[in-house]
Amino acid sequence: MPLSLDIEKHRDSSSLSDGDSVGSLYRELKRIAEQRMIGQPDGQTLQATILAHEAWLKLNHARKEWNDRQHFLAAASKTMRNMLIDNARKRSRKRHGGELQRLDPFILDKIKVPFSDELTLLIDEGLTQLETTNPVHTQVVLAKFYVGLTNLEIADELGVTERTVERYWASAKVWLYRWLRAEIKTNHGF
Amino acid sequence: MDFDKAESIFWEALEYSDLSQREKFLSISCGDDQVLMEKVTSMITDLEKADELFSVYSDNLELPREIADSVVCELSSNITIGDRIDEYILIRKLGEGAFGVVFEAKQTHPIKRNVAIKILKKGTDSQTILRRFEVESQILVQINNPHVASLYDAGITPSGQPYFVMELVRGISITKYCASKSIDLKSRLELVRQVCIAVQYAHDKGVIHRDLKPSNILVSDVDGKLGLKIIDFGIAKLIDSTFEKDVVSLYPNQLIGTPSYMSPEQICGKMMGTKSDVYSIGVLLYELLTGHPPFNNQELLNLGVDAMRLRILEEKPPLPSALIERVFGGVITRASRELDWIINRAMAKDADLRYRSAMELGDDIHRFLSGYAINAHPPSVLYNSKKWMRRNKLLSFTFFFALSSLIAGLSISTVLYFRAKEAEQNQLALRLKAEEREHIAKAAILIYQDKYKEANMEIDKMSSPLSEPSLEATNVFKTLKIWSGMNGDWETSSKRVMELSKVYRFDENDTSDNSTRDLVSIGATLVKVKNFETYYSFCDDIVGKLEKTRNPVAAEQILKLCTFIPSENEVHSRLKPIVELAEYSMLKIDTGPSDWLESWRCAAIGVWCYRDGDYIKARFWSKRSLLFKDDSLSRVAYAKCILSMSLWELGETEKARNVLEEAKKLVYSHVKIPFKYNNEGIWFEWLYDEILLNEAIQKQS
Repeated sequence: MPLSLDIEKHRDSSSLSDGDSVGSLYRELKRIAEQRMIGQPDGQTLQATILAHEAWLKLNHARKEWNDRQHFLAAASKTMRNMLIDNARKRSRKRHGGELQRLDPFILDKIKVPFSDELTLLIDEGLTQLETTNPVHTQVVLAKFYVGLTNLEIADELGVTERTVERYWASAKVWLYRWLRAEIKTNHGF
Repeated sequence: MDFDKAESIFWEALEYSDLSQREKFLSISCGDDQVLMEKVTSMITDLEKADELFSVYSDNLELPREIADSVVCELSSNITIGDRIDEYILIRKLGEGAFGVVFEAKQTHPIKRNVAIKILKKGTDSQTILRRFEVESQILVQINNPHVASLYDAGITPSGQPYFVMELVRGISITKYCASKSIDLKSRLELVRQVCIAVQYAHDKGVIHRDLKPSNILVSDVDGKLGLKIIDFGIAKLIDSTFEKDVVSLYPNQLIGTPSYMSPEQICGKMMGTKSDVYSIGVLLYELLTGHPPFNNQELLNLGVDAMRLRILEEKPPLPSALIERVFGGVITRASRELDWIINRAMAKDADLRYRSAMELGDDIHRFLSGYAINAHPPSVLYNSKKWMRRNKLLSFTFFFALSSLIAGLSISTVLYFRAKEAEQNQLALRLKAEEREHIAKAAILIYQDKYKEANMEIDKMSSPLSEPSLEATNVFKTLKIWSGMNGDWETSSKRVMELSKVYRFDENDTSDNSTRDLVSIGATLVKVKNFETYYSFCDDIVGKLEKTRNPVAAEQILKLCTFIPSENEVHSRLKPIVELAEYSMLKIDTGPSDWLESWRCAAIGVWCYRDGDYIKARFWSKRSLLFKDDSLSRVAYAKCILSMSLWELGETEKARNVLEEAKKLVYSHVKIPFKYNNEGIWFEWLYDEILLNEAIQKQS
């Protein structure tokens, strides 16, 4: 079961000091994943954000012990992000013999983009970039993308107003979109 | 031209959803600064594109199944061999399932023996759930039968995981046993009969297995002595009660169990009763005869939940006799048709068409084995009655649901009102609750055993009014209300109605007819016992909650409910929009098609018009109701009562008397205590007729 080993690795190598909250998040995620999988055929996948959001809601109640709310949100985002990105990388490598595939240069112009693993990985790369220049905006994106939180929930976590979250989110989206466009043009284009 | 300025204008601009306003805002904020303007507008256009791109992004992030699989590993890994849980030391892992892990364990005290211990993963550790777990396991511990694996003990591990300790059974599944030893047909049937007897034993104790399947029926062969044991009896319910909040509410569409052995009622999430076990035994019989379950398990799982439901509900599996030769090389030919019938009856989709008990099924197998005529009929008879059932499905809804079983929830949208005050309960309140629950649990068991009278007595023992509404309590009260009414004990019936009304609330947002079905009979019961005060306030309450309904069927039911006796002015006039709705809905319908919904609606409009003093309209609507040709005689009698009273008021006394005689004849020939259920009308509909008839008789004497 290679993937589960990966999960263990993430947990152990997690740079977050609060191992306990991450640990309980893992347990909760797995518990929920398992319940969702009962009776499902092999090869079935789960929508990750639903999973993560549920886990988050659950743990939220017990969170008095964790003083640092932001820290927990960061842990949750990071956990989910690691799992998802690793999974996408692995799948994509498997499909294309170790090589990452080129993206269609016009992909962003299409309505309802099919999110290939390659695009997912690229988006993640963009987020890593954004993090260096604007960590707070990145936090919002991560919470939305990988934990599926609502604006209100994020506002609560970060201690800002909902409107602020909306604004960060808008800015981050514009930034990320532009970054993707540039990136695809240079590295995947003509 | 710093980015921040552009960004803050961009943010502000987003507040204006109106485009012209936004433009105005931009031109004011940017002034002459074309570059700034350009910057902000490009951000806005890029945002639109970005929105399109990212709006579905997170919906596309998926995790593979392996993660889920690894959960099970981890969960079981925190308890390992050698661990001690209370007086049990884990020796060896026996198996692992979705809900937990099973170990063989050595019990050290008070007796030394080896047992099987099933440790559930942690559900929710809310005190109430744990109490319920205890109550349930207390019932199970009482089962003591050589063919049913005993439940010895149940408890909670220090880490809060519920566990139960069962008799350790060595053996292989009944299907594997039969296949590996090439057991002949007769012995297979004999085994199924033994299963029936064991299941009946537990049913008599009020316990339903709920998850009968080959892997839960183990056969051992020790020195030629055959032993059969059913394991996990009632465990499904225990697990349900432990995980109720987590599993049931979060995953309403999630099926738990082995689908090919699940009865139609289980697959639909409806109440399961003893007949659900009968169904599963039917499936077992099918598999033992043909070598396969009627529906392929993997195929079902691949179908997804909805298609799976549909298949189990609608599709008839191939007849066993068509497949049976595969197993036995065509040895049996004539006999197999009878086995078809037996299986057909045991596996009827409609629980009411199945064998009434596991014993009955066992008896029929016995009859078949000894060459007697079996009780199961060829399909034509079933087909006919089934056709009738389907026709009257809606009508008989309340009846079937209340009587057929008590365990699980009502799927109708009448919702239970759970009082949320778990936190501040003191010890005394807890004790009272435990007692109350015990009375209800006992009553439920008595009802399983068809001992309604005793069940009523059990409920009478309750010292205080119901404090903790539960699905089980509701079902008990509902069943007893109906049974008492059917047996003419209106006092008790209305008592149950009163108690019920305390635990029963209506979903005020639900204006469909689902929520109104039970109401009419409650109202009629109140009138019958002359509890007019409660009746009026009940009507008032219901009209207040449902006067906005747009559903003509609900309208009809509210009208019927509120018109049993002349109502108070205020309520009467509030019914006006409801009458108009009902009338309006009839505009589009030609009289002629034999539809009982419309025929009842006409009659209900008629009775309101009568109460309104508009006798001409009342005559019109009751006559129109009588034009329908459906076979609901209770409705005919109802309409005739109104017609007769209207004619009387209009001075046509002769005609009125004649119609009244006809109505009398109908009502008197059907109102018999105890009420029998038949296709000429549901018992409580005859109660409506009786109420109106008495009024008419009084008027005309």
